[in-house]
Amino acid sequence: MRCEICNKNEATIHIQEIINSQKKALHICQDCAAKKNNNNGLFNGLNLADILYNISSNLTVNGEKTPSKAQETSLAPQVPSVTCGKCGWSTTNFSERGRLGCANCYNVFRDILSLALKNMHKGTLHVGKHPGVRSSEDDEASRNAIEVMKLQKRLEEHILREEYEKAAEVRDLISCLKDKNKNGKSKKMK
Amino acid sequence: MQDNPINKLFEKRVSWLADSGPEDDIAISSRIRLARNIREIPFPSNAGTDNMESSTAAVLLAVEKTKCFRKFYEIDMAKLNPLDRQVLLERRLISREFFAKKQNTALVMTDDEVCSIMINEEDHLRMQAMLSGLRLGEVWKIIDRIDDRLSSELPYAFDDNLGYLTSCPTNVGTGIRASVMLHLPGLVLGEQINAVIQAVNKLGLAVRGIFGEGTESLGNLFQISNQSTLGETEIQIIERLEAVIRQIINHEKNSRQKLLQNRREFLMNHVGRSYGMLRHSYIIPSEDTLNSLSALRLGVDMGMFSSVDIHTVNELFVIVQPGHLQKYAGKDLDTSERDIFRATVIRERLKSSEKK
Repeated sequence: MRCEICNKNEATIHIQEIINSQKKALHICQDCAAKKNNNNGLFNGLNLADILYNISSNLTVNGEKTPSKAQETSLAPQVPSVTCGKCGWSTTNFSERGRLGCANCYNVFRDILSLALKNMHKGTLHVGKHPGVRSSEDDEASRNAIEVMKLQKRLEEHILREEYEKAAEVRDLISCLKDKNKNGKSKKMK
Repeated sequence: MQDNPINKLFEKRVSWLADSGPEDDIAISSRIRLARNIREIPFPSNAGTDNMESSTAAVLLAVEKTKCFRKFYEIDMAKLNPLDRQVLLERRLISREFFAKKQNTALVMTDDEVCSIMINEEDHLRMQAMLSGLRLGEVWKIIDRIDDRLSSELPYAFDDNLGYLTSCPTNVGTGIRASVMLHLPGLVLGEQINAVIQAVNKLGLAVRGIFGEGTESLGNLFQISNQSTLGETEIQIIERLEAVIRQIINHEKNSRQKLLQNRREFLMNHVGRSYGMLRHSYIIPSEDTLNSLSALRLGVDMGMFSSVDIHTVNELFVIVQPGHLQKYAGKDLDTSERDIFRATVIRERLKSSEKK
């Protein structure tokens, strides 16, 4: 049997672990085991979930990209290449960096994630706290407030650079947004 | 921002090291970090300047509006010089990743250093609370309250099934990372530390050395934290971690007792020589310092020194680091200059501790 990380050497180390009554196995060679060990030190040991996740998402081992064919052959066909319509994050981005691009990516990459999440966590369903309830009006108001804050920063910069015409434009934008928020609030009061 | 907040920090003792807390002879500090993101704005790893400015503005605005902190500093990381950033890192107010990032990032921190929010680290918000000793429950109450307040202003990225959505799927769900810093010289000297680390790993918790990257654990300081963030409540995660920490603390106590009974001279020699080195060196590299400080701390804990105060030793762990040393010196120091200045600072601190 070939090593599942480098796919070159004979796999001599066989790890089995039972997580949530699911058996998981990993077969790797001495070299890759040593690399993995050096990388994480004795502190993380050989964390199976970690290694499985690395393989499933083509993450880095020891600072280098895994030259593994295991994922191409075993996993790539199951995972079609997709791109998030909201932020443009692609399957390649995800597998290279192990990170997602935005909240919507969790829907887009659901298939790859469901496998990885099972390996990483105790469960797959959130049972912790929830954020407070917000209305869409709140959201609108906070979006405007954020814009105002950004514009104020820009205004200061324009004034510093003595670009008074541009400063005036920004100032008008700010007062417009502020009015909007005021009106929104008074409507709410009635 | 006329006054440099880092200078103000510097005038005070590090609260999570200088205060007392339960079990603080072995558990130095407890920390909980929550990862949160703002709906509609891409995560920092995929956000351009404009989006990063939006998330920064949103968080700063929410902090102001909700009044979640009484006295706090707002720090634009891009405007901070590298030395001040290093000081923040050494005081554990920012992460290594945040230290390296700086563009379009900001930090909010309370003046007592208990709470801080890194804006645009890996997630839009990384908020943390930290206290001395083993006090995860108390730390959770602090950070939970701040999170509740901020969530009344900030539209968090949240999914009913997956919980709080984070840039890295390893944090999704509760977004919580609870950790305790432990000083375990007894287990290291008794050569039981590897077995303990392996056992802890098997339980799905992570163990890291505080100082030095890679395998070395200078100063015998270890950080134990949860890894799983989904499928359990925050309280379950914290309680599971705390139960394991209590067991480790007991193992450490037993190990120290055994050393005292079976290898008394070895132990006294180890502590005594380390104290001598710290008290009388004129040049001392950082590795020697951290290991000797660990031995001194062990000696103080075991009642071998009446003159040295544990909090002095705790603080030395932080102020012997490069950023703090250079800040104290008021100028840049190269490695060999630092080794000399470090020895001076340690001699003075230990000397003044004796006089008290």
